[in-house]
Amino acid sequence: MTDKTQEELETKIARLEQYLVKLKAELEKTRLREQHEAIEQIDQYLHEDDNLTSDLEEFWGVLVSDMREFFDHRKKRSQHRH
Amino acid sequence: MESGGIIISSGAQQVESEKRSDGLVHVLALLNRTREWLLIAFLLYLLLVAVSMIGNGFNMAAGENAKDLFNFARNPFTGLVIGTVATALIQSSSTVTSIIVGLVAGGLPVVIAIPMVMGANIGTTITNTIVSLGHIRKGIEFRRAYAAATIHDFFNLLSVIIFLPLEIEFGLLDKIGAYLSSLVYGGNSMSMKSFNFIKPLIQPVLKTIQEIASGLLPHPLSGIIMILLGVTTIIAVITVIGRLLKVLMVGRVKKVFHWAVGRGPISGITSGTLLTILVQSSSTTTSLIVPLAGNGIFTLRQVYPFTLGANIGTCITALLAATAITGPTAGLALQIAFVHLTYNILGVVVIYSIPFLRNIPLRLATTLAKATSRNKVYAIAYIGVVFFLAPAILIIGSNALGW
Repeated sequence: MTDKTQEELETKIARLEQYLVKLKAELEKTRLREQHEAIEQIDQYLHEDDNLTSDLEEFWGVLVSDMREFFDHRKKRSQHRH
Repeated sequence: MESGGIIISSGAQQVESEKRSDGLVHVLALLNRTREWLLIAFLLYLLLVAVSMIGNGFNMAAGENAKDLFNFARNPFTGLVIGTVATALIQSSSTVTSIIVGLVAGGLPVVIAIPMVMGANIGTTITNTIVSLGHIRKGIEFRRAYAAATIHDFFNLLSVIIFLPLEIEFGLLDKIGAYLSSLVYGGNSMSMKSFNFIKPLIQPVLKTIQEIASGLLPHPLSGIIMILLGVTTIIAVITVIGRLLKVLMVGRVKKVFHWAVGRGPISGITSGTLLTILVQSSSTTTSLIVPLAGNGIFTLRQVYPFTLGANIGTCITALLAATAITGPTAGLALQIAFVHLTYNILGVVVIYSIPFLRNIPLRLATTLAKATSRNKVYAIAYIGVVFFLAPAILIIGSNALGW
C-alpha cells in the first residue's frame, strides 16, 4: 500500500468516524426530544394502574386462544399420525 | 361617530366581562385546589389516627400477650410470604408497611416484621407486571413493556436473596433501624419525644374512638374492631390520597421527569424517588413507565434506576405513619419504618453499584420477556413460581428444617 492510499483511507475513516459521532448525537437529540414530548402526555400514563382488570382480561383472552390453537394443532397432528 | 363610540364601548365591556369571567374561573380553580389539599391533609390525619388505632386495638384485645399472637410468623419465610401476598392483594406497599407499623406498635416484634416489609417490596411488583400484560397483542411493544415491569421484580427478589440471609444471621437491618430510631427517640432533650406535636392532635380522637368501642362492645371484641377499622381506614385513605395526588401532582411530575431525562442513573433514581413521594404510590410510578418503555421511548437501562427510586420513595408513608405512634412502642414503630428505608437504600447501593449484580435483573428481565413474547404460558408460570410455588417451598422446607 502506498503512503498516499493509506493517507486517503485514514482520512476517509476519520471523516466516517466524525459522521458517526454526529449521527449518534443526532439520534440522542431525537430520542431526548421524543422523551420530553412523551413526558408532556404523562397524565394519560399516570392512571395505568387503574385498569388492571382490563389488562388481565386482555392477557387472558390471548392466552386462552393461544392454548386452544396449541391443543388443536396437537390433536390434528396425532390424528394425522393415526 | 356615535355608533363607532357604541361599538368601542361595547367591545371594552366585552373585554372587561371576559377578564371578570377569567378571574372567576381562576378563583374557582384555586378554591377547588385548596379544597383538595385540605382533603389530603384531613386524609393524612385519618391515616395517622388509623395507624394508632391498630396499635391501641392490639393492646385492648391482647394486652401483654399481643406478642404471642404473632408467633405463627416467627419463621422469616412465613413473614416474607405474608408481606408479599398482602401487598399483592391490596396492591399497595405503602398501605401494607403502614399497617405493619401499626402492628409493631401493637406488639408485633420487629424481627418478625422485617421479612414482612421485604415481602411488601416483592408484592408491589405484581401491579406493573399486570399492566405490562395489557400490551400482550402488541408484539415487540409487549416484550419491552414486560421487561420494564419484571426488572423491578427481579431487583426486589435479588435484594431479598442478599439481605434476608444477612438479616437472619446477623440482624443487620434490625440493628441499623434500632440505631436510627434511637437517634430520633434518644434520651436527650432534643429528641422527637420532647416536641411530638402529633400526639396532641391524635390522642383526643383516638381516645374517643376507644371509649366508644369499649362502651359498645365487650372485651376483646372492641380491640378487634379497632384493629379492623384501622386497617380498613388505612387502605381507603391511601387509595383516595393516591387518586387525588395523581391529579394534583401532574405538573410537578412532569417537571421532575423533564429534569431527569438524559442525565444518567443517579437522576433516574432521584426522579423515581421524588415521583413516588409526590403520588404516594410506587405502583403508580412503576406502572406509568411501562407503556413508555413499551413504545420504545425509554430504554430498559433508563427505566431500571427509575424503578429503584420508586422503592425508596414508597418508604415515606411508613415513616409518616410511625410519627403517629406514641407510648413505649413508638421507638419500635419508627425502627421498622427506618428498616424499610434502610433496606431499600442499601438494596440500591449494593446491587446497582456492583456491575455484576446490577446486570442480573437486566438479563433476567430481558430473557423472560423474550420467552414470554414467544409463549404466553411463561407469564403464568412466572407468576405461579414467584408468588405461589417458591413461597410454598420456602415455608415447607424451612419448617421441615425446624427454623
